[in-house]
Amino acid sequence: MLLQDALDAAFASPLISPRAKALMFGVIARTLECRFCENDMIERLAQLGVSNAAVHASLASLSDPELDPAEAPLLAWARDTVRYQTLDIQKRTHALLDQIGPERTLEAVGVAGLANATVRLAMLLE
Amino acid sequence: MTTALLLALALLAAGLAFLLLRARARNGRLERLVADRAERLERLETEFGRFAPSDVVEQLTGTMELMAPGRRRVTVMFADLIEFTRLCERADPAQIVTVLNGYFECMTRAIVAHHGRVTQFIGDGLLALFGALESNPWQAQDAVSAALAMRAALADYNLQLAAQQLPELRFGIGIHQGEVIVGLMGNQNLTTFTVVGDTVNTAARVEQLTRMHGADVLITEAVREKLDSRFKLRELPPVPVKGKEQPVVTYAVEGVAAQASGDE
Repeated sequence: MLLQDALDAAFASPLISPRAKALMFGVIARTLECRFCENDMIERLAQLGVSNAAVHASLASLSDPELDPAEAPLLAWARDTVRYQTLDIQKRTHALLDQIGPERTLEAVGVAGLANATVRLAMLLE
Repeated sequence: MTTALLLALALLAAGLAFLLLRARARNGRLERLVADRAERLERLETEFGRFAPSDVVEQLTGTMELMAPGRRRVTVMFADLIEFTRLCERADPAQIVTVLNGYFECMTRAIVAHHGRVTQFIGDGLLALFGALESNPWQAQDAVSAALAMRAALADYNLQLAAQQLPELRFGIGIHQGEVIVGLMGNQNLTTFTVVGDTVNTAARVEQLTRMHGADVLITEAVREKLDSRFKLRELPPVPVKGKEQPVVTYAVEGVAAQASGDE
């Protein structure tokens, strides 16, 4: 319930679009090889009007032509949050900060943290 | 009676104080010992890090699970300098080593930035792996993006060499994907995390084809089919390769369209 509230709040927050957030979840699910979570995100994206083919293309290329340019680096960065070394992720997050600004970066960190936690929990329950 | 009680209490207090001081001293010694061991471990990791990628060192000092021998689908990259041996024959050895180390530094940085790991330096060549330590669904595009970053890094490095009146370097890169056996290999004194199998041999052969095709970065069909449309490729005629029954089709990598992550 608490997790659902956190997820709903994360998706409701306005700085990053729901499409970008769902794709970030999808990228993290794919990196961790959680098929259940990836399919769940594909369903969520379908509700947002994104076709199955478009989702797969975005996940395969870590890019999405429909995203706002300021959201474009988020998918590649989301992948980097799954397995990292501290110095390396700090550098990559600083680079993200330069590209998308502090507010969006803060929200991205929250979304990535939540996605990592959720997908890992789901894998335990699978 | 009161004096005796006070004396007993004083003795008890002194005893307790002695025990407390001794415990503190022992605690201090243990703290120093832990700090010393932590410092030695950190130093060991730093030194060891010169011989193996830092994440490999971290795995070794943590869990050995991922280092266990196994079969994995991996993208293998071979990079080799062209005509470097000829340069070695006429240049100063110290200069050669400096040039080569600078080159390896640039190439490693480009590979690591794209989630690859350099596992071996072989003369003036290197072997890099993508997806060897953990699963990586983007390993093919990582390897090709790394190759393009290496191309750009070499161009920058050549400018530095030219400024010192040193000859420019040229490389050939071969990339192939397939199943390999991964693990820590070597003897008691020298061990490295690496891979063996036909995929490795094919990547090496493809690298050699760069001279014949006059292209610096070549990939196989197995890599091409994993790439998305951003990558600009040019198909080359099939060529017979040692150890392969069928001629090998390769593709020259010409570039990539601008993308979200900023790779070029």
